[in-house]
Amino acid sequence: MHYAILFLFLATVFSIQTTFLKLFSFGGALPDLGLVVAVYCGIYCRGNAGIGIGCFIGFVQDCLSGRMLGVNTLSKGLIGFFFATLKNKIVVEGFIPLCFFLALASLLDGVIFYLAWNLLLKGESSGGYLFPYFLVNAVYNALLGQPLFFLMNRGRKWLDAKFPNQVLGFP
Amino acid sequence: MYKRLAKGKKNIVILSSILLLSLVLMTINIKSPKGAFFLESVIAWTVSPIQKLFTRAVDAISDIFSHYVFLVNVTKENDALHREIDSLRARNNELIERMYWQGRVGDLLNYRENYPKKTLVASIIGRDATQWSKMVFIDKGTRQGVRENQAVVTDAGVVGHVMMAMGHSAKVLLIVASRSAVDALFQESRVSGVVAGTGQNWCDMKYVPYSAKVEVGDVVLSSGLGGVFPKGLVVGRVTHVKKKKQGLFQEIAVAPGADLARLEEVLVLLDD
Repeated sequence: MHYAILFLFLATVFSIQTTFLKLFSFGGALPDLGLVVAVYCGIYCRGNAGIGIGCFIGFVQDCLSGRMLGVNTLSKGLIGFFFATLKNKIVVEGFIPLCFFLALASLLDGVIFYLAWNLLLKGESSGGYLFPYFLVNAVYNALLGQPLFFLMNRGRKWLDAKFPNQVLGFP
Repeated sequence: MYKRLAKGKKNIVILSSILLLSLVLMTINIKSPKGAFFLESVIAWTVSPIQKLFTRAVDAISDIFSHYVFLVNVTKENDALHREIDSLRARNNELIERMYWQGRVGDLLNYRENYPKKTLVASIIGRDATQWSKMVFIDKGTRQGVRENQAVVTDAGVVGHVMMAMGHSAKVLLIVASRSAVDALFQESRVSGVVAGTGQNWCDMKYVPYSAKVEVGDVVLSSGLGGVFPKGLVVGRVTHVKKKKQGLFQEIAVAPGADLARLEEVLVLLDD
């Protein structure tokens, strides 16, 4: 049941991302809902489930974008891996730590994208113009992540109360 | 000790798997960049009904706000005037182009319609899932006759081309995307070049000789070469020209004719 709800949730997230989220564009940057969800799942999913979900989110994002396949799979997978591996060693509670880690994840996402873009599609575009956006995007994702984390926490608690001990599970 | 070693190995395996998966996907994409990857079609098919739902809901809400809550008549009148201006601009371009064409070819050729191709009206139902790319989803696909590499336009100019067609939707790569290129020429001087996307809100016109006379405001048209865009479609207008002290070509920026930030409906030029 968790999987079905997660699937519906992700479909909704990507529909929002690809439809009216452009209305919230700030300084040319758009929030990356997929990234926030990948970070959340990396932190709160049981075991290594966050890595798989991160990869899946990245893959869906690749399929719904005009860029090459694999770049987002790699970045979101690595973000899921980073948080799933280190979740017991880092504190991601409260406004400032959450902002810090979301901004970090956002920058990592940008850097991976930039490297992949330059290494694999050399000559098409330098991609240098993207750097200012990385920073604005990191701040935007960090701020938007707060209410999203709050909402997902509420949803997770409701889900755990309704369907306890599911395979996907949250600690 | 052994437990920590095993955990370390497990992490390396997971990390390698992520890298391998990404590399496989990138390889698939580079090997067959034009064809729709099966899972891409599945995901687009899954998401597109929800996208349509969201788009309609947002349109309905924005319609209520813009037409009923705020300035009831002024907004409608403004919209109508904007449409009329766009239409007159398109007509003007069409007439100028026709005049030049008749001047060059004279009476040798019979009068033909500008676009002999069949067209299909499509609505924009979604945009790129990442902000790094310039791509939109339209609500028409292979079932309605949409195929890869068909041109997508509005009355104001070229929008892009179909990069992937699914059953009931298609991905359109905008001309400003850094992977896009259109063979083009200047309406007045007939000097040709290639309009390449920059990934931002404008395009660069490349390979225009240093000696060519180019001015800000010059209209750029598709040349018809390349087989995607028919000849004579408005690509955009020159917004910036720079001649470097050294070099064979000029640096020219072109603003797209179509308002790509506010696309709602587009025309797909179908195959004959």
